[in-house]
Amino acid sequence: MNFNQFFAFLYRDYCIEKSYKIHLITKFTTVVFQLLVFYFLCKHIDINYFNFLFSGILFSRTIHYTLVSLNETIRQEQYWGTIERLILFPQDELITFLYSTATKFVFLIIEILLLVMISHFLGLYYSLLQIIFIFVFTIFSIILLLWIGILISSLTLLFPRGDNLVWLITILIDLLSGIYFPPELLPEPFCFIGKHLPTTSMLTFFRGVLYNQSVLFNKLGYTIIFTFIFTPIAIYCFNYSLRNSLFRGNLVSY
Amino acid sequence: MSYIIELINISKSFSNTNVFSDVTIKIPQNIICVLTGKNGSGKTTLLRIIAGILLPDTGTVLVNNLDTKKYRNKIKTFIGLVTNQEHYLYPQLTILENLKFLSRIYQRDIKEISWYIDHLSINRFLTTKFCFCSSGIKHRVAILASLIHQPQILLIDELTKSVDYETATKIYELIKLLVNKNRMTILFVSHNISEIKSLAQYHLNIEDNKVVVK
Repeated sequence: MNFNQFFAFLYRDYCIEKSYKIHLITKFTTVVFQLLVFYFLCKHIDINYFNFLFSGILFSRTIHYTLVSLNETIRQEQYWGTIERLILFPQDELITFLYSTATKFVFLIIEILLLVMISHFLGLYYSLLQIIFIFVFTIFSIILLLWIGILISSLTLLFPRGDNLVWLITILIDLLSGIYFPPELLPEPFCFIGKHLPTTSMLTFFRGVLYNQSVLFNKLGYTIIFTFIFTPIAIYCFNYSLRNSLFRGNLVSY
Repeated sequence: MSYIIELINISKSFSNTNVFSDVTIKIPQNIICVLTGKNGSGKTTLLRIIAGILLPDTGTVLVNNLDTKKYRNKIKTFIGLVTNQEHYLYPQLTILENLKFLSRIYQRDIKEISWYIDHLSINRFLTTKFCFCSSGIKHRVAILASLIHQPQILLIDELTKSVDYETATKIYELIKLLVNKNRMTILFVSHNISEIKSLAQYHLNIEDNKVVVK
């Protein structure tokens, strides 16, 4: 990892966020608001459900950032017109874009911290070890599931204005992965698909450690196998889409 | 004579519009080369192809004897490119913040470009956000920013676009200095006859989908 570049992009994003102070506040307020809505809904249904849902919300935020951040970065650079400058950096474009996305993952960590703090006031008490596990798990989830984000970005490079597609994929993953309810409640064939998604395995592993103190290595292993198989495929697809954009000359336009 | 840029049988078209067909040109090292042609003739396209951020339909581009298809990342270290100055840097950042960001990326000390900052009279705009700068200032900053990593080749789309006479003179001085002292090769697009006459050591013109040496 090139820390010079990491800190350079962090510095750039700090300067940008300075210009949009209200944006930063509303960004975190929305997340807190969403949590409170779920909390009050759960109070009327079953408060134990909030326990289940909270871990789902934490994972859902991680999934959301991991899946859409890279795509958002590319779109934003295209919108500002700065993408041409970025692709001139002397390294693979995917690496540059990933560094350019790094700050978003820093925001994710802050968001997770905020959610854990607020959940404490809502009656969910986690030990220090559990809190450390939440953060370690978040970082591992980003690494293990980033290939989906790369794959989505390659799709939107191929099909400009394909943001609806990104939305559809993230909603489907949210619904099928057991974030709001166990996949067993879904009708066939969605139940089958949901059970076999790597995101479902990752979430089952997370809930197992967090609430049942059971480490389901088979679930983690299942996700790792997906990562090993699909990361090279995702990188290949991204490079193919990028070359296609460089050939068509539409990379620099939104 | 050694050539730093070689385009061999390059063809490029967008949808049904043919921009070039079968273009072969060689640009010698350490000279000021000007590229002329009518609007829409493909001057910017040619610069982008040389920089490797646009791929040709057919043909080979060699920069420093390296094929842009195989050594794109290596070639990027040699090249500085200024095309659209309006969108060259982050609009919300000040000029200084933008320059600091790029210096960190290239692991260069910002002091290395302090002479250029003075020469192009950018000092008093350093704390101005890029989006609030005039087109002339943006153009100067874009040239400055393209020099941060000390490239061997500088490609500029319209050398003195939107700048006043005094600044244009300073840019001409800078261009001569970069070629004579830093042994850089400069390829720029121009529509200004006096600029072409006073600077160009090599003149390429795009005419009827072909590039010819004038």
